[in-house]
Amino acid sequence: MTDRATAGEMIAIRQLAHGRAGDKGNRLNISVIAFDRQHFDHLKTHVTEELCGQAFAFSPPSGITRYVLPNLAAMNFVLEDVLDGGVNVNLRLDRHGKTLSYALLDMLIPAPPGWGDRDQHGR
Amino acid sequence: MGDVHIAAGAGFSNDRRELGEIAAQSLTLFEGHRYLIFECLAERTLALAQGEDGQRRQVERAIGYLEACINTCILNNIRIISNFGGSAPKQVAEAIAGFLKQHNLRRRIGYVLGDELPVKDTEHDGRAISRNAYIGAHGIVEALDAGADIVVTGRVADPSLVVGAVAFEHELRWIDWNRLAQATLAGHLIECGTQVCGGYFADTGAKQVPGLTRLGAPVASVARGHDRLKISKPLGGGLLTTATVTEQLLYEIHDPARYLTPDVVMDISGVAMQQTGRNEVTLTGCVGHARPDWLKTLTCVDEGWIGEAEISYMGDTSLDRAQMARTILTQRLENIAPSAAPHFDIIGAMYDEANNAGHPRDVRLRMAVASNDREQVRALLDEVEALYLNGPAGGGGIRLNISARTATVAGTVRQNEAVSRGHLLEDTP
Repeated sequence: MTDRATAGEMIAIRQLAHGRAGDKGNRLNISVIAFDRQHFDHLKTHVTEELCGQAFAFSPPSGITRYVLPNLAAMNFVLEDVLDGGVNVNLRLDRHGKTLSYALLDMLIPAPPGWGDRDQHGR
Repeated sequence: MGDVHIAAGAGFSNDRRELGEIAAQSLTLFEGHRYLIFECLAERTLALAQGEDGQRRQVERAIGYLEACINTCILNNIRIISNFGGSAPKQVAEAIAGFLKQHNLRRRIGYVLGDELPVKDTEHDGRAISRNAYIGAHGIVEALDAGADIVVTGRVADPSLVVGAVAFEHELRWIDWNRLAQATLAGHLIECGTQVCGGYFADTGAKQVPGLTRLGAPVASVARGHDRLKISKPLGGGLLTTATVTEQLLYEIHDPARYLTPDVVMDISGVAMQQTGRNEVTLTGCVGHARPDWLKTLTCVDEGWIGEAEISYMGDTSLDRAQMARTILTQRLENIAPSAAPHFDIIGAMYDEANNAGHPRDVRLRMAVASNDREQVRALLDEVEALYLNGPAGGGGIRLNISARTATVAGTVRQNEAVSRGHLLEDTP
């Protein structure tokens, strides 16, 4: 397999993984689930608590914890104090923070080896 | 045999009414014990259900859900469990009894009490509206045991709606932690209705979902005596794959090894899943640990009013003019109400503006304010309306809205302070 991906090519997390945000009180969780299990280690290396923090620079959480679920080829990020007090009091447009999964999924990470051989959906 | 099949007909208080009928029709395809749940309570639904209007709305909703599916349920011996009792399970149960009587339908109706806790005048400066504990499945089992065909609850924990059905049919003991966890997993996966079978999932590329205009309902099939759990979507649009199930599995989860419910501590860290059929996934490896000896409570507190106002701008300089309008409002509000702390969004450029990227041609400025004084909120929104004649060029489409602001404050009580108890309505057939 030839690697036609340019050295240093960056792709969005959502090209390799999908996810969903959920809120409870002032806490948000975002799952990051590999479409293809063979990319899970690559995702684990690059989708870190630090990268998640960068994705939320516009509203910095007071803490971020990543849980890794190898059986499911998934990670779960839990962000503390990220909803300005929670769904029922904040003044945001999206009071639940439901749209925020895409703040993380749009972050760029290096393309995995062999990425250039794939189509735009990573298949 | 002895499998329990539970379908979800609603995942929030105002879900599609037709979903209940799709769910009931789906259940007719299964042999065994059949249950239909409607999950209707979010963090502040109970606060909204206070007062006469709120009470009337929750009765109308419960009956609306039943109207759509009750005939199929009666014909096929499907029992119904729902938290659509909201802030007044007994009153909603009585209203349902009245509705059934009117249609010459005979069902035994049970209800579950125990979640409502007294509110002290001194709490939150007298602004506390309601206080409820998240109670477990115990009362549902009692109501089913008493012969109920329809069980109406208030604030039981969402997955407990399913735990009640499984615990009753499989005669679980309240220390069968792995079995209780398996039932909790079933409940967790279907309590948001279509969110596990193609709803809230669609995107371009690898996430395309067929049949989004009429999504089907999920069915959880819980096997007796071992840890296999099947989730399927027999009818309607959507899809049920390991991808859709994994998204819902982690939805609103914090530590995957410790999901706390009133019935059990669920541990999904070792769960594995397999696509075992078209629109069917089988999960194994869920385990349980002893439930906490306390329950979560939620107090709803009156926090006054939220006001929102929006105005649109179009064209190449739309972002510049929205920013101008924001500056005008910021300065005027500083003079009129220095403590107002308005929140602004420029819709259409929210992230572009922060990153100095993009060139929107159509944006909408939104201002949100909060206050205990409704008149004050109104006065501040009037400032946005004044932009019609006094703001930058080409502003239009102004909308103003004021709504009640209800905070929810989490707390705890000991298990024995809020006991989940089931009852049968007295004049039930």
